[in-house]
Amino acid sequence: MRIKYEILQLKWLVILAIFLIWCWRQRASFVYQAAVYEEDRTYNVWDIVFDQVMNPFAMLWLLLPIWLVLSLRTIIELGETTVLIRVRNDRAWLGLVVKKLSVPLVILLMLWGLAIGSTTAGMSFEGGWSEFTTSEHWLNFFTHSFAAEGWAQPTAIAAQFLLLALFLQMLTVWLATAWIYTEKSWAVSLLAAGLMIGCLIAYHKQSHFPEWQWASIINWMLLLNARHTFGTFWPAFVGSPLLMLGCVGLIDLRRNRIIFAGLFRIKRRLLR
Amino acid sequence: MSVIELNKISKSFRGVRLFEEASAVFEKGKIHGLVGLNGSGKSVLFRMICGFLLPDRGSIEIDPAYRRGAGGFPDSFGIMIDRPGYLAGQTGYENLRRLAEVRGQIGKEEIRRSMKAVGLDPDLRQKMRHYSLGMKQKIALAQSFMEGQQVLVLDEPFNALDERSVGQVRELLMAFRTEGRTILLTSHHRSDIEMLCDYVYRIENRKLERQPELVSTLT
Repeated sequence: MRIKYEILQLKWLVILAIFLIWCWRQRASFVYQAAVYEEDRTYNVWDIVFDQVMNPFAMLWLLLPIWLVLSLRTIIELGETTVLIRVRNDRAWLGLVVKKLSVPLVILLMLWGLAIGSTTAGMSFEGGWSEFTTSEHWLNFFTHSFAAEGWAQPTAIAAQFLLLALFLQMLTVWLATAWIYTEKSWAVSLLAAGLMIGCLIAYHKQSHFPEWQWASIINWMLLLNARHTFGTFWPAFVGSPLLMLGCVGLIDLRRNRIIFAGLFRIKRRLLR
Repeated sequence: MSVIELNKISKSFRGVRLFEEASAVFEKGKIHGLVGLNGSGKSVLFRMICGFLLPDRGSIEIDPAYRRGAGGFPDSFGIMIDRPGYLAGQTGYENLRRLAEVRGQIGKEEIRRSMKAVGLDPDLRQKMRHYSLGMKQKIALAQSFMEGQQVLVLDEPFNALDERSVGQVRELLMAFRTEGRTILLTSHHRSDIEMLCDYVYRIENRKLERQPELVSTLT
């Protein structure tokens, strides 16, 4: 019932329209750039797909704000005493939020995939990587490493979608944890806005300190950047779940009053 | 046999000291009334009983039969605190079904029965944004007992209800008491307290004072 209700929402049509517009513009841009800079080497359908699937600009300017709004709405909707009393504890409530958002997350990523897929209409799917990908050039940054390491295209796309899903759910967990601590809609909204702005700054403003490159937001949501920075794909998959576990730990601390007892003692001393 | 026991709880909320070593015992199968001036802390007390707020000092003991492990929210508690939120674009029935899905314990029939019990038509296609204040109040009330909750914590359950509905809800609460359910309620109407409550606590001087005689407490 929930899935049917969720799918029938008008918002998804609007989101799909936005995705379609962006994907077709990106495709046109790719074809133009390839024609200008890579005249003698031919690209195939996978190059067009990966140029969109691995695009950090789209992730940060399209998927991220949509997801933050969806998360915020769900958290505020479920942050009711009538819902809380029906779950076991704060941690179970957090699980409920993540569970409720899993359907919109799947729909969002499916629409994203659908919009990308639409840009390949009429093209045949070749089995291998193109001549364009297997050679090194700045235009094929998003595909060359996969080709060099022998990844199959569907595996690389699935891995990227999984990483993105983990990253987005991690943001939800942060927002939900903030709600548990503050119980204020405005505080969670402020955090969501802060996360959005923070992610954009972290992406557009390059760090002057090479030792801080690992902290760049892109390393945690874009598979190839993770590999580029860490030398392997795995840290990106481990980072988000670890941070989510950290939030669960914070929630348990609240439940066990560890933080609150400490704050209460500090407050009493200050008031004396 | 007590369902809820407050042991010397102290609580400050938004800079105001509401309770100072307040104690009370709420027995099973009785209706307990809580009276006090506006801002005296009735809703905060209810939130503490449900585990949404923690007392600064002291403890709140809930009968283990109504607990789901240590530190969590109590089990089988139906609550109506402040004005519960709802999805304005959905009908009353859809809102209740959404809440029922959280636990997945009841189906359509139980939800429909609860709505009828408070005088609402479950087939009404009107969205909740068009509901009157009284109808919203009835939805809030229906969700508090639709899953057979054994302890009802109701903050101003008679607010915005018309005379007929007040009578209907009073009968419903008395029927729940006969079934052995425990009810904690607040009301600013003397008649509600007089007619329904077995025990009355008054919040005075940051304490909970059990009133020996109902009439004398209600000024």
